[in-house]
Amino acid sequence: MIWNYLRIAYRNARKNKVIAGINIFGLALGVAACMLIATYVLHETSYDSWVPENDRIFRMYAAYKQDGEILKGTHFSANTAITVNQDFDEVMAAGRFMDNELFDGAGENNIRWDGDQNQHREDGFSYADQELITMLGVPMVYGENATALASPKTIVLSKSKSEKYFGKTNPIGKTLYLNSNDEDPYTISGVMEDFPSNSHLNYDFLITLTDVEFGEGEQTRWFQNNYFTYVQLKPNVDYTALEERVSRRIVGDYMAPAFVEAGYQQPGELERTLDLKLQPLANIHLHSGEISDTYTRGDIRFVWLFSIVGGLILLIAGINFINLSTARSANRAKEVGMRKVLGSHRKELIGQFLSESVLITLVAFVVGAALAQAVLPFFNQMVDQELVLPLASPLFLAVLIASALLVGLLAGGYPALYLSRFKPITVFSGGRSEGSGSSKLRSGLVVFQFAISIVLIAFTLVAHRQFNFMLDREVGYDRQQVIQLSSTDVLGDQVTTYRDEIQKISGVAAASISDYLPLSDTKRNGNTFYSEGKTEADNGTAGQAWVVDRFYLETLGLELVEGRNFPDQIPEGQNYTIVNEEMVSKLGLESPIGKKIQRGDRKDEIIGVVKDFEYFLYSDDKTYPLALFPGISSTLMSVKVDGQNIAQTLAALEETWDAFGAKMNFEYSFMDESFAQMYAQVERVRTLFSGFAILAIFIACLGLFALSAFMVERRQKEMSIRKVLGASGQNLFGLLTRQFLILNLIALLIGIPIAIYFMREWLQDYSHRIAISWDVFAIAAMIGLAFTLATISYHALRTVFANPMDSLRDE
Amino acid sequence: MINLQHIERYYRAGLAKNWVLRDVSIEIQEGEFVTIMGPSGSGKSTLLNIIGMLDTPDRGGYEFLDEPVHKFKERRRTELHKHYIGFVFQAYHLIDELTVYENIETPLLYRKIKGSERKAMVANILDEFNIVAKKDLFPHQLSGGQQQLVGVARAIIGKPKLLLADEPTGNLHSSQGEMIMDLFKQLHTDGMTILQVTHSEKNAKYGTRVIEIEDGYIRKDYAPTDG
Repeated sequence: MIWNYLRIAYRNARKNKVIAGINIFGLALGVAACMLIATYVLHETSYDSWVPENDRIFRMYAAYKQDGEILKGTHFSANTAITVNQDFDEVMAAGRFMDNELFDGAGENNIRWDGDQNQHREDGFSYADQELITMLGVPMVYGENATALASPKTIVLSKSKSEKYFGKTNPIGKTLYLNSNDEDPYTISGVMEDFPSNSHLNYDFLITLTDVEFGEGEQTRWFQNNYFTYVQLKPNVDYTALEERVSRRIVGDYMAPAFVEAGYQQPGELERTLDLKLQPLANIHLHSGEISDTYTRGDIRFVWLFSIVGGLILLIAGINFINLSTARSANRAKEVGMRKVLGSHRKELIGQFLSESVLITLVAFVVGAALAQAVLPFFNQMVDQELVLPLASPLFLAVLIASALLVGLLAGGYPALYLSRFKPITVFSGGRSEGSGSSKLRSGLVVFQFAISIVLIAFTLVAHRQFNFMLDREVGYDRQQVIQLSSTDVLGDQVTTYRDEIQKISGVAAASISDYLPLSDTKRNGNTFYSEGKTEADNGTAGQAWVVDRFYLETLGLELVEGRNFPDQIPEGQNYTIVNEEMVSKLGLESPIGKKIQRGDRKDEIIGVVKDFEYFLYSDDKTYPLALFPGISSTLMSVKVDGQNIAQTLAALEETWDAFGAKMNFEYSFMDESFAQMYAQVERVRTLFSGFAILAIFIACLGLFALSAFMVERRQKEMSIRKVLGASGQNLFGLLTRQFLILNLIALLIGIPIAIYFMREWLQDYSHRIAISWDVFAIAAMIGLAFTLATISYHALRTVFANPMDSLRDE
Repeated sequence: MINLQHIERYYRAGLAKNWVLRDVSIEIQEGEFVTIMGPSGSGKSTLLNIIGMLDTPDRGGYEFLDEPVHKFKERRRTELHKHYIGFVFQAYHLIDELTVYENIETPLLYRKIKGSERKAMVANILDEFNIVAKKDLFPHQLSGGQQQLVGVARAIIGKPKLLLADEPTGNLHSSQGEMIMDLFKQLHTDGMTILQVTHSEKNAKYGTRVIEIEDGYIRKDYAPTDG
């Protein structure tokens, strides 16, 4: 019996190639999109699940109340981990990462292997505790996970870095020098597997923290916060209850007394403003939006966004399926009638139609899987991942088949119920073969499709504008024609000479030495500033203290609103600073020039106020208090060039570089590109979203195309008669398209408010955002109408130009 | 076999009723070959549909093989006609997407007859009707007469007790029509009860009884001359 059904299904498909093609192809596109999205979503939600006991491992973070806001940070003092481990039985182990670039060895380094003359630039260094790699169960290629970082001066590298330098050989025992520091060698004690792509960590070099102290007392001081702290709990510990006790104990018994003793806080202050929290390891990737750490991470909102878009695409494809099936009902009515006469129960007919739709869906899923596999490389490029479709996994196949069945049953369900209801007597006596109910439903579904399309178009437009706005807006500095040279610290004392030398090159307008730049991933620090003499009276303000040279403002095009730049020579005994407007306002300074600001014991005179510029402190782009201090921070150099002949200028820069005998390759980057890079995630989301939106609209148009073919076919005779009676081509075209245009307008009315709502919500997340203007909807409506007209015109025009006698003759 | 008592059937047109059948009572015994005649719109097709259980009367009783059909739910009626009734239509109503073989096989599928047995039954009837060569063709590849031949084969393959035919020769040339009527006569001789609706006096003469209908009433009920 089932073969009989399938045979019919196959022959029907062959007979109506276009319809079957649209059904299968549309659904396959939807399935492919869904598969890619699902793979992406699964990857995003699988972060850190590779860690064996991830449900018992937590990252600590601090929630700090300031100015009515809660700031969340993940940096703790060195002794936090040790103390938590000692004081709480529930804690099985605690371990730390330290990747703050302020300390030699962390972040980026120039490295040299024993026996190699050349320096190499490598990123991805972090200090780490032995406890941490044990806790995370980091798999090792060479060496023991349990002891690799136990001894002082050891380093573990990733498999890919090991292979880069040592090929397939075991490098354990080899010696490594960091930053030309040849008296201070490190020994390779292990090679770990690269952190998987679904890990929130991405270090290539782990230096042991055993016996490390960054300055005297650093390991025991409570207010020098540079460590990411992770704890592993014993089984069956309620972490929310524990975190409260940890918070009370650590803040109340250790931190607060230390802060009061150092004069940083009034008694009771810290207990009121600071809470320590535990964040489950698996939540770090997607649920850290407000937590400031240095990791690039995912965003649960994007996961939701894409899941919804994936669902909508499948829904649109499913609606096509329903609409085409019921529209075709006239052609199937006779068969239904006859089968009933031959003794078929309704149940059997429902079974027949369902097996037909399941068959089509299965084919569509197979085609869809192939499509997904084919576009996977492009998709990976877009999401910056190396996702793999688990096509060989039995579970994946099972889910695939189950979804095909489900989609087939859902999309085929209504048509099956509808078609199987035909009564033979009505069918054979040539009565109405199509219930008005089904055409109402069809109209409703078409409106729904249109509405989704309009929302997606509008959303795509707004996202596009928002993104352009973010990239092009005024940020307070000029990033055009600024080049960053990296590793300039290899020049040593010569770095200032090099700077002065290249300023003589004709294409160079200015050059400045500083590691502190308004780009993410450049140096940052944390300080508390007070206005002079008010250390007792208020809490001060958190701010950045950047070391820059006197060409900094000129090179980056920063604007002085008051005062002057740093002089060539700072007079003996004078401490100068230039602060930003935010600092002035946070400290409540009136006429700030000449006033002094204080941090620790140090007092600096404000000689200038620079206009606020955005500098990416956290992953947001707000402006925070900032003070510039004269000095040399020598890893990066920024060069402002004029627009003429940049290639020639770069060549001259490199020539000078080589003339200085630098032991590194000349490396540079353009600041505007680095800036755009910071928005890579936003850019990716935008591209992906536009892609999926276009796909959704395309699938909807496919359905519309086929549906219009039916509608036109049904009215062929009517149109022919009208034509014979003298109707013009325009008349007929209007008649044929009017119905769809009306549906389009209804969809517009429904879609626009929904679009407005979601766009508002979405834009809320951006501190710099565009206003939603009405032309977005005008454009979305135009696009929607244009697509609709273009799609249905094909069939409508064919009818308009057809010879009326062709359809009237055989009557 | 068939016992209709005071059957009435009407359609509502606004407040008025359009009568199709009025007070129709008929009794038909097994083995009869009955022809229902009458002008267009007289109600003869409706009568046939009611007897075939495709339509239900608004009033009156219908017993088929002593079972009260008018009291049955749709499911039970389907069972009855599946097992006892075969239909032949003026427009053949073959399923376009199925071959000759598959069209004939379909009723057996609904009766859940096993594959081997089914094959034998279909092969037999193809042979009997001389259409073995056509078995893999689709309906649109056949002439009208051949299609109707397939239609009859399909109607009787399940060995129904009653064969209902609604103008079976209406779309056929006279020679093809005669072939179909000869076939009916043969079936009747073999013991099948047949009920046909026709305009043709000539076709009526193949049967054993003629019922004339006009405006929903039975006007005459007689045996045809030189039948």
